[in-house]
Amino acid sequence: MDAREALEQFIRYVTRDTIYLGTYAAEVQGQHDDDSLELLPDDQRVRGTGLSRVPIRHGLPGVRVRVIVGARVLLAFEAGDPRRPYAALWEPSAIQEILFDGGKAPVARVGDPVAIYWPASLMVTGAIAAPAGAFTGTITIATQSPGIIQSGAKRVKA
Amino acid sequence: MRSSLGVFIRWVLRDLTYRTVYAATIELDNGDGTVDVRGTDGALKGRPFRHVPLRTGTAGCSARLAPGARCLLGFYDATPRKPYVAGWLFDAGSATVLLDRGKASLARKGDSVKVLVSDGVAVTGIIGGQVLVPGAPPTVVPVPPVPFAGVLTGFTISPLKPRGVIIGGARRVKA
Repeated sequence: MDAREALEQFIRYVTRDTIYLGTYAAEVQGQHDDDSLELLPDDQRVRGTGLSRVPIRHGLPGVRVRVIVGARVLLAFEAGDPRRPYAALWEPSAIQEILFDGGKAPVARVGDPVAIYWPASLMVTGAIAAPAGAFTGTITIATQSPGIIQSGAKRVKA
Repeated sequence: MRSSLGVFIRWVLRDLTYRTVYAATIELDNGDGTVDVRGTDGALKGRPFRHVPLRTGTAGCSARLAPGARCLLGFYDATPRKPYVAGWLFDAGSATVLLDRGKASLARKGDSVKVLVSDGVAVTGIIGGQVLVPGAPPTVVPVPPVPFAGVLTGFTISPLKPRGVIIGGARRVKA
């Protein structure tokens, strides 16, 4: 080994932790109840036996995502510290759920159904065709009526 | 010698500090797309940063943040004068998400609906009252309560305050 190679090897040794300044493609092997992931990186340098309980860093605050096994994501390390991995930036794929602010109710969209409930008794006035005439009375509507959401956000879709 | 050379190399590569991201906490949302944050980890622990622009991972999305929201602090061009925040940990109630700069709340299954009823609503129920038959003199004919199924057209109904509830929604998007 000549002096140049020795110096290069030394510098590589001194800066060996800079490997954790990079980002690495990884596959989701599982997801825990706290949303953290079991990840298997593609790159052998950081692969080992995979990383466990890796937190997701979301691109949007207040959002929580349940993903599927096999989903592809980037792996990186806070402060370049191998003890602080995180997952962020996903390849397009199916998800189990995306939850805003921890909500549990499905988001409604144009075309979704609405149930309409009527008051117990309604006053009715109108006209009944000849030979009858003006009608006044009450109507009790027993059934709920269907409705459909007809308008919504122009550029926000789900 | 070996140690001092190592320190020298580290000094030469000192901008590596700004080539990674650090855990940070929101202290104030300035309302102009910037936040005041404080580093909570690594080389930036305890350091405040003012008017740091917010970055989201999804185009068209922005957010208003509550103090205490946890994020990552990074730097454009590995320059300390160019910080940004991104990479959010989920905390319920820590943010209001705005899609496409919208101001209206998204509706969810179970939310209530104000119903605007027009003529021609098909209903089923019981109807009763009286009919005023024209004549000289006009005759009032009682109509006992009878089952009714059909469409009311040209009638006035009061109080017209039906209640609507959304019963459908997205399978995988919840709020």
